[in-house]
Amino acid sequence: MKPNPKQQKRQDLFDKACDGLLSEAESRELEDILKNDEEARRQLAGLLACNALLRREKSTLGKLEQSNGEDTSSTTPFPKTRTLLGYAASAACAAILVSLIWASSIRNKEASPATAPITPMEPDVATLTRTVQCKWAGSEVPTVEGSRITAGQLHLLEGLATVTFDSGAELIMEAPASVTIIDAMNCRLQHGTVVADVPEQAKGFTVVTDETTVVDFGTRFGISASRDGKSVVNVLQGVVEVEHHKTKETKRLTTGGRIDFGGWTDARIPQPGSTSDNDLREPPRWNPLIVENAREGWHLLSTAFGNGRDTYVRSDPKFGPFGGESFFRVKYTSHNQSLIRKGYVAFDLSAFRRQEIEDAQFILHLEPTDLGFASLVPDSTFTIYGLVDGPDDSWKEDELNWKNAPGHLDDPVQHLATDRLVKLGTMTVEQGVQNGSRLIQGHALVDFLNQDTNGEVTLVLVRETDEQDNGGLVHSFATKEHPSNTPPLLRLKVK
Amino acid sequence: MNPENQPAPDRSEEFLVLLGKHERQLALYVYGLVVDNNDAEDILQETRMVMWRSFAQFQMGTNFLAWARKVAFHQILTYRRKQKRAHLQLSDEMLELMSTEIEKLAPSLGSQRDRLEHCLRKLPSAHRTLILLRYFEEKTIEEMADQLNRTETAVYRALSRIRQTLQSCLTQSNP
Repeated sequence: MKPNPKQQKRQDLFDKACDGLLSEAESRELEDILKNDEEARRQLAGLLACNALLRREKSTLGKLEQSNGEDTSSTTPFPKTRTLLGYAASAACAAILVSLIWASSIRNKEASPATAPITPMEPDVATLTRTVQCKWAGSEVPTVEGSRITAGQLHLLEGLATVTFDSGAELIMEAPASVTIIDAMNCRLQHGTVVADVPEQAKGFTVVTDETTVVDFGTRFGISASRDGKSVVNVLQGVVEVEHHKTKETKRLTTGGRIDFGGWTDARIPQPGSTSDNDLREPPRWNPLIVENAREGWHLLSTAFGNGRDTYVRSDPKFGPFGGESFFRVKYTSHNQSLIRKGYVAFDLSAFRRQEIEDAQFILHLEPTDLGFASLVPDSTFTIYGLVDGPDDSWKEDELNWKNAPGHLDDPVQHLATDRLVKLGTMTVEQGVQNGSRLIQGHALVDFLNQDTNGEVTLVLVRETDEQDNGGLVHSFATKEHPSNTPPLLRLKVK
Repeated sequence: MNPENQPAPDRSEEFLVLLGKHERQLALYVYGLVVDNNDAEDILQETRMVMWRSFAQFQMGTNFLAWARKVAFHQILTYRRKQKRAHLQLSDEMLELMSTEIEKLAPSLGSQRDRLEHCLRKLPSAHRTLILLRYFEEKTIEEMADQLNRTETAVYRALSRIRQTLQSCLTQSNP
């Protein structure tokens, strides 16, 4: 029955893939196996699907868990010894079973809507007292204002919803947010932002996230949590106790106190220009969209959002596409016709559809370049063009090249398809400068953005300034693939 | 929130009904391609939001699940790039091939919650305990090895065998 070493190796790779444990070399090895072997792909898919079912169907596992203790017809998973059976009889195992059953009594209530229908016997524990502009997705408890709700999950896509627990505690969900109601004194925040208002009689009301447990002692506090375990607790008034699950450390926070597990306070996208709006008095919150709300109607949108893209094309068809690079290169030269580069940047404007844009900035961050001599390139002017709205906006960054780029002619001398482009502005980079940011702003940009109808806009960046001789500097700007520098940004003010 | 930004109210009901009907299948699809539960949930959430926003473009009568999977696949790719974390550590192209294979399996696997229970019940209880520790308690291999006083390799191999048993049980046509 023992598989041969080759089969075993393959199975090991499959298992590791399922558990996310492949090394880089192993990934390549697996990729090679899968590339030419449909049967192998089918096998791996079966294993992945089985694994997905096990991870997702908690309620089925929960049922099994409760009856597992009753089943005595067992064999050990380790054929050589009887350790596990022996273990099953031990006190330690009994302790695990107790903890499993305890966990299942909570988890059954927490299980997702698709897996655990709440039985009619489940008592009501709260009321949905207020909903403002709410859109819900797949929630398992009623989402009409005034509904009584049982234990179960609420998924809020848009708007604000207030849940008043029978204990008197009030929880305001700020979309997007997913919350599991456990009972009148307990809930779990899967992700999103909530504000809890806890009156005297509900002291001890508890909000649990993946990483933290927050116990409230008659206060108002806000908590924002993301699925990757980051969370921020902010006490608006009163006292709360926060336990960090990993370190088991418990902290008491009083009015104005904040704990940030995950470094959001410093990890926000830096504001362009000089005056930072992050003075830390306002608590950061999880935002899944990479659309940052700045003050007074300003929003910050990066190419990392939605269908945003950033790359460049080069006038030598042997090179590219460059979609995965952490920077894009821009150069003009009259000395060598194969070394011209143009930047292409697209933003996903779907979050601003039908909103009128009042003011806008397009911001790029320079990246120290690895090519060419700065001495040979004087102060350089870059022109930014907007691509006329249309199907051309749907270019793919891993396919874009000198032949297929939109708003472009395959000609090193006249490579701008001027009938497809609108000039939006220019920016200057002084000789030798390779850091910092540059921006354009103005009516041309605003008009261009407002004329968009398909939710995507493409900007083309061209260097006007020639090099004085062969080997001049190639300018580079950070893309969304860059691990630390800021990607291209649109800063938008909407009416 | 700009009210003009949302589809007409009658469509939101359509959306919720369709999403409710297909959410489980969609989740299994994403879980199949994303090995980390937290990442999978994040991606599902983003997918729901993108679907909601672009629901106006969805034509009633066409395949909602296929559309949902397409949106989800795009979200997975976006997430991979953003997080610098390859879930299934495969290239985008290979991930797409795997996605096709997983879609093919969906009819036989996805609709069978009872089948999973049946297959789990058929396991010897010691094997079932391992599955429960891993997937219900969400213990790491290291924690399991610790608890069971076994080496990590032994635990991992045992789990691998049990998963294979389950997989073949799940794909058999009759209980």
